[in-house]
Amino acid sequence: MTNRLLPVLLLLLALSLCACSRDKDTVAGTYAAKNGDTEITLNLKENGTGTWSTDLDEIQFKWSVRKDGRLWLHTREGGVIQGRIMDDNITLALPGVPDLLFTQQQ
Amino acid sequence: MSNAKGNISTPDSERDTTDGHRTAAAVDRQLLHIQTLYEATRELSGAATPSAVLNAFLPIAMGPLGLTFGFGVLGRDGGLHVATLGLGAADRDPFDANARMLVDKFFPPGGTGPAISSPAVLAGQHLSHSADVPSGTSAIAVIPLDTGSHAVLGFGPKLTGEPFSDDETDLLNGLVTTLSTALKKACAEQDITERNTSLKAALAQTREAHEALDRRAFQLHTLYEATLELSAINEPGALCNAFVLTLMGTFSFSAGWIALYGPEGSEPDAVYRGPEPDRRTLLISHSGRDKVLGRFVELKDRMPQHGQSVLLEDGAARAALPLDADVAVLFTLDNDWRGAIGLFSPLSEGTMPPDMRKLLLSLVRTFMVSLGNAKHVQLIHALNSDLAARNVELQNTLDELTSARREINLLTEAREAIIGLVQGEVQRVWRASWLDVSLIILAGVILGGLFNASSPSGIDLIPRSFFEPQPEMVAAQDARTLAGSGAVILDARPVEFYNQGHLRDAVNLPSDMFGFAYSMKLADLDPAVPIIVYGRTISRNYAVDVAQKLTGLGHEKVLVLDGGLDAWEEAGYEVDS
Repeated sequence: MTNRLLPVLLLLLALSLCACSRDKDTVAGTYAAKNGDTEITLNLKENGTGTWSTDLDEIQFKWSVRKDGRLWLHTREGGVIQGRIMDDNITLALPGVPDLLFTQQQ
Repeated sequence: MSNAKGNISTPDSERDTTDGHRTAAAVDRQLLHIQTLYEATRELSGAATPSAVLNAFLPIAMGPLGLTFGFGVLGRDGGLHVATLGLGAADRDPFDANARMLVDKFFPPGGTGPAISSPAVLAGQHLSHSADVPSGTSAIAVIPLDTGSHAVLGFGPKLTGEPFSDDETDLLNGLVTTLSTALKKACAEQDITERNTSLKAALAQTREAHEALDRRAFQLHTLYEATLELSAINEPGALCNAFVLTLMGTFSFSAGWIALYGPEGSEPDAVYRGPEPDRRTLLISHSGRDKVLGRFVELKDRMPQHGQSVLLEDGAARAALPLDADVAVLFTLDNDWRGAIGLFSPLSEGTMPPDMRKLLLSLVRTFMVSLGNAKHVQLIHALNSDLAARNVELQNTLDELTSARREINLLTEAREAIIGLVQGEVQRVWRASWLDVSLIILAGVILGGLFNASSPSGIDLIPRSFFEPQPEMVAAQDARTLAGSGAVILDARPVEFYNQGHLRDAVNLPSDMFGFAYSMKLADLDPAVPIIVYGRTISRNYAVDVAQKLTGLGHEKVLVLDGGLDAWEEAGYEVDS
């Protein structure tokens, strides 16, 4: 029984890990946006981690690009902030806040 | 006659002396009698009929005997001929009236009386007073001729008033015998003539009958030949072609045609034999069809029904057909097929006699039978072809079914093998040991932990709020009072819950994206402003998490709404959605 289940479990694990590794090369980079007087810097690293920086705080998160091309920012608390990738810009939607337009920084 | 008498008497007068004159007179009488008989024979032999014989006999007999009158009645085959000579009207009329009685007296009807087989002469004074004969009758002669024919003659007294001498009686007997012979001969000749006439009539009738039989034999032979020829043909077009040629040959026409029309939309069959072969197109055209079928309609109640034909007598109707027709026949094969036959350009003048018309209709009937058979054969061929095609399809279907059955058998065997394998595995599962179960649970825990750790949405196995000081709780009424005095109300639930319903003026600050949302919404908030937080589910207490984080960020008065949104609604306060 164990001998038969083990290969199946290993296969499922490999598939799960593969699903987590997306192509991030083209999206990784530093982006900036402004919400009122607050300037926000979004840094997406190629290893799938990133930071959300304001004058007051810096928040760590993980990010990924879904099959449909949308950007997901995974917060450490388990939340997901969804965004759209448009050429060099990223638009993020936060609840109760107008869409934030992030422009890639050189 | 006087010369003959002189030649005979001269030698006698020379040889005889005493009795010479007496003997000479007797010889003269005998000679006269012989001459009378000779002349009677000669005269009577020239008469053609028994009546003429009787008419001629009376003067011949009366002259030599010197009789005052004479009469004769000839009865023959029921008829009666009366001849008189020397009778006055007073005697003749009653005699004419009683002539039948006189004949019946001697020759009773039905042969009931005494049979008279030969001519007989009755003479005597007693006859002059008989009521059946004219007064003064001195002699009566009865003459049987043959069955149903007989004659009765009577003679008046001599001019001298003397009775008949023996010689005169002999002469009378001889004359009657001569008359009998002449009458028999005349009767025989008349019989022969009549029989000859009837024979000629019978012969003429026989000849006519023979000719009729010859014609009938010709017609039957024609019918037989046509039947033989048509029965060997099974194709309607070829049948029509052969039949129109048969009709042209039988009835002496140099051209003819047959057209056969089926249901609307079907192809007509048409045959044309004669000059200008292109005229066949007139038969198969729509107008040709309409013209022929129109003649059927014109016939009304005389329209030929199933298997019937009718000769088109009306010249105007024949002229309305699509092609010429001196003789035309309309026929109905069945409920669907009708047709017409036309013959024209006759090789001889004259109308078709009735027996030939009957032959034509008989031939058409034979043609219709053969045509019906041909149609049936055609239908049978079509059905056979269809059946053969269906047989091929059926064979293909059977082959496919056979193949499918093999596949089903294979699949059934495979299914049974799989079922056996599964059942074996199920039995093995039921026989699983505690070690197997423990390994499965352990694998599940490891996989779950790995997934939770690798997932960005993973959760803490032990909520951090357990280790933090619990925030202060506030009742709904107090919370409403605080909100009215400037406190900020935060909804810590995810945005989907917030959108479904939330406290009025509440700000959505989801616990799982606290850092992001806080920096956008509350970064500039005075730490002294009271904050009321609400929102939890069965598995997550978002309000406590957010309240602890706010406290951690330096906010001095962070309260958690006791009972959350439900307590707020139960208190009857406003909720927006």
